[in-house]
Amino acid sequence: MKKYIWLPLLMMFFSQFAQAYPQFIAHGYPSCTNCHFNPMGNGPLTDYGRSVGADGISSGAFYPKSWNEEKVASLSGFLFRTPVQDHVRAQLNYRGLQMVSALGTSTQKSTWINMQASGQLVLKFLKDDRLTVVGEFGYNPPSSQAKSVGQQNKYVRSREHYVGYRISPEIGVYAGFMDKAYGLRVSEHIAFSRFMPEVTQNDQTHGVMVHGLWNGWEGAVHGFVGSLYQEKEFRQKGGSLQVERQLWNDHRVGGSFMYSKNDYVKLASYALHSRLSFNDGSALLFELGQTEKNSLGNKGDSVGRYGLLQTYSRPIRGLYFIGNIEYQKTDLSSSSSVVRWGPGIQYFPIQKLELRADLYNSRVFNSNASTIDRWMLLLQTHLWL
Amino acid sequence: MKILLLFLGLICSNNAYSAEDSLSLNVKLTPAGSFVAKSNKLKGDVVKDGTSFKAEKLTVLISTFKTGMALRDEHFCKHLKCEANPKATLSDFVGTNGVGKGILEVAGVKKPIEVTYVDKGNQLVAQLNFKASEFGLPPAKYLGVGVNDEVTGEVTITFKAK
Repeated sequence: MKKYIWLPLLMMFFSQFAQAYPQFIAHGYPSCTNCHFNPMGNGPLTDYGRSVGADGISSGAFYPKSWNEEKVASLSGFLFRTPVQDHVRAQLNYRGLQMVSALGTSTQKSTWINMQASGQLVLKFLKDDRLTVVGEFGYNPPSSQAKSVGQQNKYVRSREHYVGYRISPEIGVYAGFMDKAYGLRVSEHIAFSRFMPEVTQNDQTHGVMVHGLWNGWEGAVHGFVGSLYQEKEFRQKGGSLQVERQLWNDHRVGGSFMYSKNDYVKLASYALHSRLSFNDGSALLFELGQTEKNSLGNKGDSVGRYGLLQTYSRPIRGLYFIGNIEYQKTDLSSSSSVVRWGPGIQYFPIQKLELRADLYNSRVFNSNASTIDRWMLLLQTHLWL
Repeated sequence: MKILLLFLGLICSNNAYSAEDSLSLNVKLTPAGSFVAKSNKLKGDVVKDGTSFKAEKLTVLISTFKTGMALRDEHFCKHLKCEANPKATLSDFVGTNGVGKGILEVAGVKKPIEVTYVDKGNQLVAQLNFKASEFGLPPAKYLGVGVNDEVTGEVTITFKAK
C-alpha cells in the first residue's frame, strides 16, 4: 500500500502549469496588472507584458547583432507581429513535460505529458482598455481527480472566461470564471501551497472579484459560487481575500483568507506570504498557510499546514536558478509530513520560449513508518505565440 | 592559500566600506510597479569646506543610466532627449546643515533644486525630488503603462576636504 502513497503526487503532474510568475517582483513588477489582463496574474499577457517578456525576461543572446531592443519588442505580438488594431488580442500556448519519476530506481519511468495547448482571446475597449473580455479555451489533460469532484473528464474546456472593468486605474471589477484570489500564484500547480487550499489548475470558479491598488496596498475580494461545470452538490461556494503591502519599494508582505463549502465539505484556508526582491531578477517567495477541512458527512475533520520557500537568482539575462523547498502536513494530528525540495533551472533563450528543468526530492517523515526518498526530474518546454 | 588571503585582504581594504559614487532615480509606474535608473558615471568634485559642501558642476551622461531592462534604457534615454542633451547637470551646489541648493539641468531645462543630505564620513548621500514635467518632459507611456511625474533620487558621491 505504501508504494501508492506517491500516486496522488504523480497524478498532479498530469495537468497544466499556470502561467504566473510572482518572482518578477524582482524586475520591478510587484503587481501583475501591468503584464496580465487578470490583475492577480495568470492568463493572457498585455502588450506591455509581452514586451517585458521579450526584452526584460528573455535572453538577447540569439538575436542578430543588428537588432536593437525596439526591434525585439516589435516581434512580441501574436505570431511575432506588431498589433495593427487596439481591440483584439490573441495568444496560443503550449506546455509539454518530460517527467522522469522514481529517478535512479528500478521502477524509473519516463513520460511525455502535453500539459497545456490552449488559445486565448482578449477583447478590449474604452480608454486605457478599461473594459476587457477574456477567454481561454484548450486541451485539458485527463485527470483521475475530476470525477471525484463531480467534473466530467473533458479533453477540452474553458480555463477562464470573464469580463473586467476598471472603474479607475486603482479599482476594477471582474466577473466570470477565473482563478480564486488567494496566496502566491506560483507557476507550479503541484505546489502544496496551491494544492492544499484548492487553488490549483482545475480549481477555477465562477464569481465576482474586486481588485484594488491604493497607496502601497494591493488586494482582491472574491465572492464565488463554485464551478458551474461541476455538479451542484460539489460546487464550493464562498469567498476569499488576498492583501499585500509594499515595503521599501521593492518587497511585498501579505495575507490571504478563504472560506468555502459544498454539500460535503467546509474548507477554510489562511496564509501569510511575502515576496522579496533582490533586484536584477533575483527574488525570494515565501508562503506559510493552514487549511481546515470539516467533512459534513461525519468522516472526520482535519487541519493541515503547508509551507513554500522559493528562491530565484538571475546570473545573466534569460537565466534563472531556482531553489524550492516545500512542506506539507495534511493532518496536524497525524505523525506524517512531506518535505519536497530541489533545484531548478529556468531559461528563456528567446522570447516566447521557456525551457525549465526541475529536480525534486520528496521525503515522507512518519514516526510509524519509513519510506524511501523519491526523486523526480521534470523537463518542461513552454511556448507562447 | 596566501593568494586567497591577499585577495581577501584587498577586497576588505578601506574602499570596500564605501558605496560606489552613483545617481539612482526611483521612477514609479502606473498602474503599479517601479524601476530604478542608476548610473555610476558621475563626474565632478564635491569639496567639503568646514561644515559646508560645494560643487561647481556635477554631470552624468544620460546614456549611462541602467534600468534593469535594455529596452527601458533606450526609452529612458530617448525620453530625456539624450541626443540633443546628453548630460544632466547639477551646478552651483552649496550645502549646509544637511540642506543643499543648486541648479539642476535636465533635457536642456534649468531649474533650482533643493536637496537634503547626510555626511557619511568620506561620502555625501543626498536625496532629491523633482517633477519630470518641470523640465519640459511630457508624460511617458509605453503600451498602456505610464510613468509618474514625481521622481525621487539619491546621489552618493565621495567628497574632498578643502
